[in-house]
Amino acid sequence: MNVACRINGKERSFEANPSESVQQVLSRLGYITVRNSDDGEGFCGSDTILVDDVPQYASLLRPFQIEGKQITTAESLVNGRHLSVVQQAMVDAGVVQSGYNAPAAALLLTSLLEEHAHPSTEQISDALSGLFNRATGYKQFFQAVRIAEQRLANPDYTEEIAPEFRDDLRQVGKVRQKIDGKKLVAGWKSFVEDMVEPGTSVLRMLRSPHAHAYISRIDTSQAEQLPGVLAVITHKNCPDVYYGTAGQGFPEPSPYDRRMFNKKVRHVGDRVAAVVAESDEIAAEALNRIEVDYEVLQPIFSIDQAMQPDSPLVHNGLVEYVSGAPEDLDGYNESADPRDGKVVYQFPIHGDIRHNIAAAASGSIGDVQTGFAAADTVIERTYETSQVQCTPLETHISYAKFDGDRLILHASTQVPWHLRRIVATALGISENMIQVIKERVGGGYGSKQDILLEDVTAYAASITGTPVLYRFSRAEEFTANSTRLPMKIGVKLGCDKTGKLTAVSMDVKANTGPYGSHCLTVPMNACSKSLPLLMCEHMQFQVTSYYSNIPPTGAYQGYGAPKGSFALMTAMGELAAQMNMDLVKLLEINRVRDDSLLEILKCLGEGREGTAVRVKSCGLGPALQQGAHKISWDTTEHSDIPHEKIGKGVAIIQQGSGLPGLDHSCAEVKMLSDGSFMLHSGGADLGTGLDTVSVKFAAEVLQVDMERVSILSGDTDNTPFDTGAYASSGTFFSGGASKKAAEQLKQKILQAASGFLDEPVEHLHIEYPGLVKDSYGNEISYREIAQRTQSGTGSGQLTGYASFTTEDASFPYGAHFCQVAVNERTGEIRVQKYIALQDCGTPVNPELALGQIYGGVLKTIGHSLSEQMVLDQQGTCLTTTMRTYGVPMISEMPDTFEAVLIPTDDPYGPFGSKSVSEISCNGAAPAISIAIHDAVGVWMRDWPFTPEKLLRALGKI
Amino acid sequence: MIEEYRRFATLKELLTAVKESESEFLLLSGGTEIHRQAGSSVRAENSAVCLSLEGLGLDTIEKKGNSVTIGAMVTLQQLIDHTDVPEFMKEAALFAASRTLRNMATLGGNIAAFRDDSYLLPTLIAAKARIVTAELDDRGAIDTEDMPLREYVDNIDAFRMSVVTKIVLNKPERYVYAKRYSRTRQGVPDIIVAFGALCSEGRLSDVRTAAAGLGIGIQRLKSVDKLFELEPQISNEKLEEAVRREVHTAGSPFASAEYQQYLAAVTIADMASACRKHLEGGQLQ
Repeated sequence: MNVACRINGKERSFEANPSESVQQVLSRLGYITVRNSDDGEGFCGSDTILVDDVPQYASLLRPFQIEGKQITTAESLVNGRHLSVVQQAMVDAGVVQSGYNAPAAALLLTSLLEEHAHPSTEQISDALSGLFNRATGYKQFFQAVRIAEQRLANPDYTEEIAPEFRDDLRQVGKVRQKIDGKKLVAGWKSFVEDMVEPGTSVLRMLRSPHAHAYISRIDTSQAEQLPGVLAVITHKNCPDVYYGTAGQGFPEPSPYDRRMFNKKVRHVGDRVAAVVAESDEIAAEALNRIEVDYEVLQPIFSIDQAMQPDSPLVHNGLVEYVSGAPEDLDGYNESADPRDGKVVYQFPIHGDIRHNIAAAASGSIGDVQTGFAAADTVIERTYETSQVQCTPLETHISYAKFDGDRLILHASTQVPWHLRRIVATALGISENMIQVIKERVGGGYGSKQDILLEDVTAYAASITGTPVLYRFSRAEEFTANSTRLPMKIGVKLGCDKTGKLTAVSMDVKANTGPYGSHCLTVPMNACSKSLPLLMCEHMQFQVTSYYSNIPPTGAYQGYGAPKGSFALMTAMGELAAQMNMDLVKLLEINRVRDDSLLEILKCLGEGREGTAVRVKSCGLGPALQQGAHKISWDTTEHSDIPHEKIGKGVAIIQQGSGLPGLDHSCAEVKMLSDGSFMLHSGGADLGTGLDTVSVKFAAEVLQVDMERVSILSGDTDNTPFDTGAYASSGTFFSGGASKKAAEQLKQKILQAASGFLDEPVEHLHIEYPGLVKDSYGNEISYREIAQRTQSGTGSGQLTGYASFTTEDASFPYGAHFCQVAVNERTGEIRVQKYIALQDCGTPVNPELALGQIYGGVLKTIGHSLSEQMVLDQQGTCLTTTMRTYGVPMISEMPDTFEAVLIPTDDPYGPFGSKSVSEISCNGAAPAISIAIHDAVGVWMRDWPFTPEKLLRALGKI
Repeated sequence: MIEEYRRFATLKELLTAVKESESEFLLLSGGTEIHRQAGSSVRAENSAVCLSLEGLGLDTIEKKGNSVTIGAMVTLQQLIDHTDVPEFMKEAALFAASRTLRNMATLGGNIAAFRDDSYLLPTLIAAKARIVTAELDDRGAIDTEDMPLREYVDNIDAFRMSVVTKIVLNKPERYVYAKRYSRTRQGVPDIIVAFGALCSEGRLSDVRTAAAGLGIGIQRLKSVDKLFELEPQISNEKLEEAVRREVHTAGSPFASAEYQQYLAAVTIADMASACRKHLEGGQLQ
């Protein structure tokens, strides 16, 4: 059909299929800001357009509905290369982070301000009510609107965006625009989908309808005969190589327990066959033509089921060890079923697949029996956490093509180098034959630390010779994406009459699902990021990770810490209640502080030997003090609403700043011929502002404005190695490498200037804005140094290169306080106030740090109260849409929502900085659980804390 | 797959197309339910022809005396923005928590989709709204039917060839309240409960209760309504018990049947209590 309408003020006439969505049409016409996040659910708002000036979801419109209409997309907002007032205000406020639907947000707010010059808080909330924002938690949108509102009247208006830190520094700790903020909010080409060229083939996956089955027969002949089908890949013709999806340091602690396709399927949604075709429609038709017979097996879904002696085995293949194989391995393998394939451990992690155990670990300090014997009060509780989804707005996507014989992978990934290694392994080629280009990442939250589709996309491109695009549908995100591991955590605490802990014990049982990615490290992290919060002479932990047939698990922002924190901090709340002691006082007595020696970390390495660590900076004291004051901790609140009770809760939390001894980052800074700089960083900015951190560090060291430093990052051909963005490593490691490289370049600049000024280096110093001075007042600019060094007689281009590794650890800390209203009659729970106080050392990007705290907290309020992957008895996920899954939107934001940065000066972190993003996920569950108890006297020990569970706990049903 | 769409200059042309349609057709108002790929009971892929209600003058809101007539193509957001629309209808429209969605979804579409989790139908039942439908009679003339909404709800299959054209709210004296329970405002509802009554002459009368989102369609709780006639001062405990007996729940992946029954019971009891309190205070809200 032909459609005529006005788009952004211009008459357009185009052909469209009546059944395709307006989002698809506009995207095809080049309006790339109209993005797809929900496959037409009408929820996320990435597809927002204005139809006759009214915001609507383009995915819920069909072409004939815009006939004759005036269509406005976010492309209309920019003027040449200049952002609109609203767009600029969003960047200034720090609300643009992963940025996938930032253009849509700008369009909504522009529409709001055209209708209401001075919108109320309620009107702003209402305008954004149809927009999903996982990264920054909505709070800063209100500030962006206020700034825009003022600037529309007074273009020169400025205000304090966020508190600033470190008066001795020019860039670090100051509010600066996120360097890719403009590009993202403008909607310019940024993401993998924007790089796809015409003629690209598509890949679609046939997924298992069974949770546990052998593929007894598969016939792809009818699909292969369909015109336009280029290849069909199954377990019969895929590479016979075992690998894992976890993008972790090599050798990985996770087992290699899958091929690209397996004869055995281990969860509903597991790979069965991939079709590569010239169009999506052909691929879909081809999938229908594949015939598969299954030998269905009994599935298991819970830890308890996996632990049963006669439980079905999820993996019953051959076990191999790259190193450290046990002597009785042959006997162990006698009962293996070849249809199950293999499980290859890089080194022993106490796995026992014949009992569904993927990995196990234990450790202790002191003697807990002695500690419990000395206790006046002992409590023992079990807590459970459920499987939750990352739900990035940009679903997983991979675009593979060949340049000659080299594979080019455009990726939305947190781990470009691990991705390259794993794809090279899977395809059996060497790493030099692959270039990974990390594009902007439209949300990852841990799930893009796993290699979930790049292996098969790359293989498809290699066997067909065509560029191949594979993008997860939203439903695939729920069935095939990695998720937070469900856990069952036993906690036993003993303390004396004064409240001093005498013994702490944690027993972590994790459900790793069908494969073992992160199976050891996530549950160990539940211990290593919670136990060191408490100072106790006697501690022990036990970790066991079980295979099952639930959808896959893996990394998720916070890793194991949100679960460990939930269990340990809620147990502290229960202990305080049992002792009739104030919880803040109990935490204050037992908490970690400056100079504490964390002995327990001797037993908690990430797949390697750990070491005891001394804490060099800890902001928990002021965090607890300020938080208690802000939430009026000692005051009991009452509600005027019938049946509604108010309660307060608190939790102390921690994380790490990368993995000392395991993580590794490199960077290179080059001086350009005009004295500006090009920074090549291996760091993988996944939207959090790592590139901005790296540029800030380089600019700070070199004493120039940030505009004089450009960055290229996350490109395996053109930037140096980096282990990737996970384990809260970005600022500490990747940023640390950039700082170190800039420092090396600074020395080279001084040496060059020494020759030009004829003064020894010791008499020289650099000064803003980019010059070298001697003690007599003589000076030489960077421009001149660059020109002289790059002339025919000079030393050549000045560069600084650094490889950053360390054994030193820096821990961010935090105290989260909340106030909830609980309706005893209906079970409804509302978070009224949430105060997150976080010590991230020197906050490098204060406004972005605040946004990450808001985002992490709101995300985990969702995990605590509403989000749930519900499986039926066959293991099929019933919650494969945003509405059914229950992500929080702006309407779920607490009435009072405040993030507070508690500065400390860490001696190891670059410019005293520590990590900030992941830790913000660790406080919501325990703080809310404790607040619910404070309100109505019942303990909620398994998340999500739904109204129904609460009513049952209250004995109402 | 939608292979064709059609627009019409008049309602009669539309009704003619409906009557003469040989293949499966979809009546398209806002399109949010039809085009939503997930969670919709009406899948666009099943139908070949889309018949649009746009441009037929069905997008007006008119107040005459105590009667407010709302056209089928009025969007949920227009309900909220219009001064003549009763507050309870605005609150029901807000059950669609996304403004962007409300800008698209229409009154008629929400009624005709007849979803188990309908934003509006429970409230309209409690309000004793009237519905106007149109179809062509055997002589080719437009046959409009103006009936209580409950008739439409009770006999929905009889109206498959009809077009919902408007809703009439003509009982401003009614107290109407509805509540939607869900984990998030945009999440799937655990249950939606609506209660409507006359509050005059010292007692509650003409009570209408409804529940939805229970996995088995929209329910009128007729015996509960009857109970108010027989026992106007019924206690909360008795009322809760009656609701539990009456309401049928299938449970869902997110809410057990027992929980849904409990919520239906306590919510209707609380709404009745609130209504009585207003009565004692001499004014309604």
